[in-house]
Amino acid sequence: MILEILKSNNAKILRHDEKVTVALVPNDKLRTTAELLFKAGCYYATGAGVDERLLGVGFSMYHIFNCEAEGRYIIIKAVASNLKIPSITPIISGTNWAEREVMDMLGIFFDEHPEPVRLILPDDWPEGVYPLRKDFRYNERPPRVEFEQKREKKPGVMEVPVGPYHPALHEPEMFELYVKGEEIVGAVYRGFHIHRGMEKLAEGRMTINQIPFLAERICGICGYTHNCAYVQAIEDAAKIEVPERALYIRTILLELERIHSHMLWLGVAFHLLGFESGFMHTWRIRETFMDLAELLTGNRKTYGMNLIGGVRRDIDENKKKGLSEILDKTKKEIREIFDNATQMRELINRMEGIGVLSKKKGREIGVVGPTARGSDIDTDVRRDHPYAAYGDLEFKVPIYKDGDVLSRFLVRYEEVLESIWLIEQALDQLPPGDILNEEYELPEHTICVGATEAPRGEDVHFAIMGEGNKVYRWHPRAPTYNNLPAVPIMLKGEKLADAPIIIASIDPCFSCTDHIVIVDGEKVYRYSLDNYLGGL
Amino acid sequence: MGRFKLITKAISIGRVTEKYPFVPLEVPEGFRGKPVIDPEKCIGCTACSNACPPQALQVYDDLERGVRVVHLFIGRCIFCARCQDVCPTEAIKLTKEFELATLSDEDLHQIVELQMVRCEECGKPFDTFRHLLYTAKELQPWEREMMFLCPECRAKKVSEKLIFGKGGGYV
Repeated sequence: MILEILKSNNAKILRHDEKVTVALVPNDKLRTTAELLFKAGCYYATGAGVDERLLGVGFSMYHIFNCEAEGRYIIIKAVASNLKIPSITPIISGTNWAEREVMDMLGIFFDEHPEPVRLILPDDWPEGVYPLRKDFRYNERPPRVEFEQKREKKPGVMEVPVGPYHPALHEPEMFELYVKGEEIVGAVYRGFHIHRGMEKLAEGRMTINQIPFLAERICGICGYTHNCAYVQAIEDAAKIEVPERALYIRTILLELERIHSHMLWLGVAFHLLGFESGFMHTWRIRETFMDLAELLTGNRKTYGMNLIGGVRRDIDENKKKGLSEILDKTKKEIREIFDNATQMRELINRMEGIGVLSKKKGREIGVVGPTARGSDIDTDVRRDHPYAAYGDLEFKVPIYKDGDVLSRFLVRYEEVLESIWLIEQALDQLPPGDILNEEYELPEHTICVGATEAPRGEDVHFAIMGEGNKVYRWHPRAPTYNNLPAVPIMLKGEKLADAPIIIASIDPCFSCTDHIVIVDGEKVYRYSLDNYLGGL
Repeated sequence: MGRFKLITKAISIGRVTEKYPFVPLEVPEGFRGKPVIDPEKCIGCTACSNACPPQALQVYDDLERGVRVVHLFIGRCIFCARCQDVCPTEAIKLTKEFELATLSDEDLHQIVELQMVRCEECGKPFDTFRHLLYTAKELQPWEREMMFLCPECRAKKVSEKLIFGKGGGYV
């Protein structure tokens, strides 16, 4: 079906195998192709611009769609003519950020883009300097330029800034909430305060087996899943056969990470709702999972377990025994805490019917993970695109229909229990054998994609192989990147007091999303203070 | 009603906060802490500096003094243990030490200096003694005579041999 759509639009198929289809689409057909793909049930995962001048092509844009029905990723490539490509944002609103990012970083312009303003680069970045172009060195620092803050005030509306540090999640973000009385009438998100230039660093300086450790540092909570997604992308390109035992070990660690991440979120949610003892209990239980990670990998966080072709440490019988003992004990404890918590009316009342995201809107933005599953969107990378050992294991994907904060809360709670069940199965079926396959050859200029289900949703890594143990282009997309545009929609029409839990309900990971800006602490501070005083 | 159960739960569990730093914290076997180089075992092969993702380990030659410097700066280290994986002589190991806060920058540097061999022909230092001995085990007998030549002089010698060694200068 997908092939027919592509062929009817004069697309040239560059790669077509079990998991990935890459097609070059002529610019005049780009919009119709995207529309047809979207109507066929594929949602927009991410987009990456590439400076392919060194490969003799010019600038190009890769739009990546996730086709769950066929279990494949569809990458449509468009080559810019005169630095211009038609925008597909008027058809799929989820493309908005991806296209603006490419505008900032590579200087490709999108015709008829409804909002062609800066997203990622700070205001004091000079015009016409594009950091992801190949002629920009990775350690170059352009001079700052002066700029004027343009602000307009709406009459009768008060502005309440949440940020630049989130009060509960301790991460930099900035929501401007416009309130009338207690009701939120509008919200604007300003992010990307902590761009770390990771893509440039990876392409400019690092070798293929060093990048997994950089990828792991995209996120401080769910780093291992980024590590896995990158490694899977390269393994997909080089067609490396990973030993089965390594795949099972990856699964165990991925699920361990999901449990501790969800437990962290559930604790923060309790804290935001004013249920402090629940917060303490949740984090006390979470601590045992952190200790388990330390036992298996040598560190509580940043496991550093993956290399291309397998994992670095084995799980021996002793560790296996310790792991299953602790799982048995904590499973009971988790049930105890949450079954009690969900019986408290005052807690449930603060989540029920709050921050609703409809299925249709969610699909248009392309929300992923528990945010999508709380809005009746049946999506899970583990099931739709089986990776690691998920194909052999049995698990349930919890779906809730209401689309409110409570649905997302319950999805995460059920997922914790599912994850424990998955680890138990994986430990039980752990096959014997090697854990690392180091005999492989790396291809050149192959387009590849790797995806994992991070605790927050689908995590996609797009890569183009380079020459001599390097990558030509690496573009990671954290799940929060897709979920954040949904927050202003959830906030509209709600009470101001509910804003913290609504913002937190997508389990935002701002630093992941921002992996790509240069911080200017002083400016952010001054900017928000002025606003604050102006608003009051 | 649920919350009363949680109160009894809290009482039955008691205090879970560790007494750290007044009581030392135990870390499990295989913990990835501060890396330490054993200067006795290091051969200066540069495998670690090639593998190190954040370039915390750098190896450079001081040609004037004729030493190879293996420089570990823990301020950049990400404790991934790749150096430990690739080290052929197990000279670098990650210890269980994790309390690395310090008042002086010097505590974060470890420098190992290894004596280098000078080329018999041109006199330029080209490799460490230890690395040369380490690789000598694998050399074929006819390769050993050129052991003490730097790569450039060796290449020159090999081509000279090929041209003149077989008599007549035609190969």
